[in-house]
Amino acid sequence: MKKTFLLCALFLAFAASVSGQQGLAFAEKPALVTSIGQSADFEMIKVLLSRAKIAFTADPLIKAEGLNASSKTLILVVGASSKGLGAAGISAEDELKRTNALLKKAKELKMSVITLHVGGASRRGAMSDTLIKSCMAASDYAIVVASGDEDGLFTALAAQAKIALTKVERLSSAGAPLAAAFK
Amino acid sequence: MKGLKRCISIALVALFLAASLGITFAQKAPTVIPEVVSSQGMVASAHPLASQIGLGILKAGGNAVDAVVATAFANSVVEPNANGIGGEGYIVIYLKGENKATSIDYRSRASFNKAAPDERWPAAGHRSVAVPGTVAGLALALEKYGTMSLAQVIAPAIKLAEEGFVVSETLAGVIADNFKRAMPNAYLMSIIAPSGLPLEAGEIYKNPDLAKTLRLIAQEGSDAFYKGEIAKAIAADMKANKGLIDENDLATYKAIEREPASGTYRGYDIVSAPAPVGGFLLIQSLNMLENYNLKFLGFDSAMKLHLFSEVLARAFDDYYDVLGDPDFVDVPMKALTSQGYANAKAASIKLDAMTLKYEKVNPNSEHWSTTHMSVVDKAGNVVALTQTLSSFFGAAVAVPGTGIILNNEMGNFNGKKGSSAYLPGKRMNTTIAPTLIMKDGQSFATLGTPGAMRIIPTLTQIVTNLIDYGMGIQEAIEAPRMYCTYLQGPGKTTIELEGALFPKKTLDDLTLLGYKVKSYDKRDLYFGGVQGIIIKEGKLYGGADPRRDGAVFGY
Repeated sequence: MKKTFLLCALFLAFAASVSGQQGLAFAEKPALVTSIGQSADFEMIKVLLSRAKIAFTADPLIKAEGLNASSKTLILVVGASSKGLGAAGISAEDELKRTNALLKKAKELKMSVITLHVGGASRRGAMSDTLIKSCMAASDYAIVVASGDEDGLFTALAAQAKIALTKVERLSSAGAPLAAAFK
Repeated sequence: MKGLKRCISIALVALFLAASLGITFAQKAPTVIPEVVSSQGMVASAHPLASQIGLGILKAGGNAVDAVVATAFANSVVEPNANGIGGEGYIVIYLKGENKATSIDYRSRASFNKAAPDERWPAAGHRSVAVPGTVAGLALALEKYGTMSLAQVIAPAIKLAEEGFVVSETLAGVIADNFKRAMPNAYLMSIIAPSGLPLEAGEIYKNPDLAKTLRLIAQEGSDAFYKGEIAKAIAADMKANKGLIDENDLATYKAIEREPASGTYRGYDIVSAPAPVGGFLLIQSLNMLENYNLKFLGFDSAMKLHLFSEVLARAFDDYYDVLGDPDFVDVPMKALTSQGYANAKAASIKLDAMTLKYEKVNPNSEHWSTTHMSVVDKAGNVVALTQTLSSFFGAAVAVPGTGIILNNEMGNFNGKKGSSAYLPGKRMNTTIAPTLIMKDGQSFATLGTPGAMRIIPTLTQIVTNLIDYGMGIQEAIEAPRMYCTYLQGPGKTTIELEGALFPKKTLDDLTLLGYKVKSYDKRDLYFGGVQGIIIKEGKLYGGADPRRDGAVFGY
């Protein structure tokens, strides 16, 4: 029920943001943004959040035990990078474990969860897709750059999870729906 | 332990049988990119716009050197992550009329200003920058072996920098990956992220300051870069940011013509770039492989991949221990490329067991931001050119007002003592290896790739794909690749490969041999971006790498 409401609300929110009107929003501030897959996309989302003046903290490697009620919304920037994982010294398996534990804790804390996939087709593949599936199943809303959903994976996962999915043409266009999701 | 040995023995028997019964020879599968065939001239580079420019020069009557220099300047604009006039490189040239092979070393060089005794080279920033060689190297090649003026061959690059070009998915991905590294340098950010966010695929990349710089070089020659106002701008930026390079370093930089490294493989002559770069590693690896029947082992068997790991690890011993700047270190190039030396090294290889331990320096100390181009002209002159900034976007430093992105080559010095250690004014090692292959006195191929430590493994695979497995150039380029040069014994040695393109059994067999398998789920630019041309029966066959934005054009 909650997700159906969100679906409608977010559609209206995005429509409103496109038309420049004040829209409905579900996510509360402050947000906590983390990377799921350790790609460089994390840095870009920080820029978008700053531009949208959304209060946030950022920790690409935050673990479940580090999550607390001081953050109201969890933003997951998903997309695997072998280089990023290597630099962080963690395996893909460990990243998946961290993700699942994080999502479980976010649910316990009743946080809203937003998934962002902004790396397009090049940020897809077996490793990314495993992480994407975990994130989408536990999210309330997702924003993706359309070239990352050419095979319809996000569309199918959003339908399965009964959440709203906003597709944008490019990274820079992800700022508007992201801002619109916040109260 | 006994059980493990038994498992390995059984697996090896199975591997042997599989290799005997199911030998895979030439892969005749359709390629992702069609092979290009022509007869007059051909240019293969990492970007279609650069290749087109090179082809235009050939059609306008330029020779292969004119075309490669034009392609290199253009590529410096359109592949700014991988090369540029703030970087360096190496050219290998075969002049058909003179039946002569030569090479030009435009490796970067450490400043004459001494670093701190305990200096550790950073991965980014002004302190990581070495004196760039690209402009000197390209100008020398053109002056000695070209037919056109610098102004003629630079003009297309100036236009590209001024008018801009469409950002590809590949470039957009690299810009995004390096966004954080670039953030401290506001001027670099103004080039690659003018809106504050990285340029995305489909957007226009322009660098009008670089156009001005290139115009100055076109008008005044390489002195504009090394002695004129560009040199002043580089030195001033260095001084303001505690970099080592000063005007004297730039004014005294010289590209050097050197005798190429050479060897043979199964009746073919291999001509590659000599010290202080990695051509001899390719020759030595091929010399070791000549002791084995690769067709018998099969293209994609675990035993073949294991053999390559053993061979490459032995070759790379010399990269760290023997190779160095020939102006500072006695590099016994003839011995390093001799068959006898390779045979002695190969004698300890066992096909049924991994070498227990090799003491190595960190194999990932370099990066994969390099680019390669190959050109053949109608007179039969053949050129292979590889140039680089070291890491993608080099030092992540751009010189204000010039559009020049600087290299981070200093990190390629290795340790405090030995052939590859730092000394003021010295050229550092690298694995780049632009290579020509000849057969019976005729050109057969021009090849090269970026890929840092993957360069030699990749080229070794490409050469054997062509010669042992009889593949065409495009097929050889697209065939799946492996990388392992760092043997630590069973359970501790990682082999990286494009696992999704190998049979699952091969991956399982490698695990049984004791390898930790790191599998990539598609062709990945980590394994390089080969550009190559082969010449057969009067026709040119060009191949470009789908792992990057490679493109071949011929006429």
